[in-house]
Amino acid sequence: MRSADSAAISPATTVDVHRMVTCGSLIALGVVLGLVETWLVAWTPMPWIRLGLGNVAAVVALAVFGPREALSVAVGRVLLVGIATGTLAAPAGLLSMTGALFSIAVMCGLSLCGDRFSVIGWSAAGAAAHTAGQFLAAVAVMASPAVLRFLPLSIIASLALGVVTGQVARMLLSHVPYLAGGGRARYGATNDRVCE
Amino acid sequence: MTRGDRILITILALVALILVPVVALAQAGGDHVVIEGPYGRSSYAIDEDRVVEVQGRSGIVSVEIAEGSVRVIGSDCPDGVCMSSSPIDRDGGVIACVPNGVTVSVRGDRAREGVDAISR
Repeated sequence: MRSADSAAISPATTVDVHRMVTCGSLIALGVVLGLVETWLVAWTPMPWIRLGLGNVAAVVALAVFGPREALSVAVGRVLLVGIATGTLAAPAGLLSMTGALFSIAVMCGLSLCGDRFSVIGWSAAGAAAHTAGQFLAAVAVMASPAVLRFLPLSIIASLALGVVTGQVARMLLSHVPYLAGGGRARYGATNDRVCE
Repeated sequence: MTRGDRILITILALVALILVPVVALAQAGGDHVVIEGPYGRSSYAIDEDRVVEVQGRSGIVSVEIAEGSVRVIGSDCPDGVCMSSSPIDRDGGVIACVPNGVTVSVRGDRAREGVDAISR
C-alpha cells in the first residue's frame, strides 16, 4: 500500500491500481466480517471460541499478493474494527492485535514454503497462532496465567475453524474472477497454490 | 488441502492434545473460590452461598457462589464474555473478565497454586 501511495506522488512511476484497490477492498471485507463476528460472539455458547472470519481477508491478500500486503490488510482490519467497536485502546484491542500479528507471522512463514501448504493450511495454522497470541496477551494483561487453562481446547477449535475459513478464502480466490485474475503474470505461481 | 496441510494440522492438533492433560491435571473438586482483581485478591469457601462484588478496571464484577458452583452474574464490560461462561465448580476452573482484569478461580485443597504450576 505504501508503494502505491508513494507512486501516486511521482507521476514517473506507474501506480499499481490493481493492488491498491484489491487491498482496500480486502480491508473493507475484513472489517465487515470482523464486525459480523462481534455480533456472533453474543450467541456462541463458548465465548473462548471464535470463527475468525476476518482472517479470510488476510489469507486472500497473502495468496494474491504477498506478506507485505497481508500484513497491511490484517493490521488495517484490526485497527478499523477496534475504532468501530471502541475497543482499540482496550485490552480486547490489544488481544486482537497480538493475535493478528502472530497469525500473520505464521501464515507468511508458511507462504514462503512454496507449494507445500495451501491457503487452508495457512488459515488453520494462522488461526491457531492467533489463539496462542491472544492467550499470551491475555496472560500479560491479567498478570495471571490462569486463563491458559482454556488454551488447548481453543487451539483445537481454532484449527478446525481455520480449515473452514481457509475453505472460504479458497472459494473466494477461485470463484471471484477479479481475485483469481490477481495472479497476473508475476503472481502466476499463486494460482497453482490456490487451486492445488 | 495438500499433504503438507494435513501434516501441519495434525501436528498442531497433537500438540494441543498433549496440552489437554497438562492443564487438566487437577480436576478434583475445589473447596474454595479465589477472586483476583486489579485491586487485590480474596478467597471464599465454595459451600457458603453468597454474592461477591469486586472492583475491576472498568467497573464492578458480581460473582455468585451458590450450591457449590461459581459464576459471574454481572459485569461492567463491553462483551460480557465472563457472564456467558459456564459455572465452575472444580479445582482449576476459571472464569476470566479480561476487560476488568478479574479472574475467578476454584482451588482445591492442595498447597498448589492452581494452574500456575503448569505454565512456569
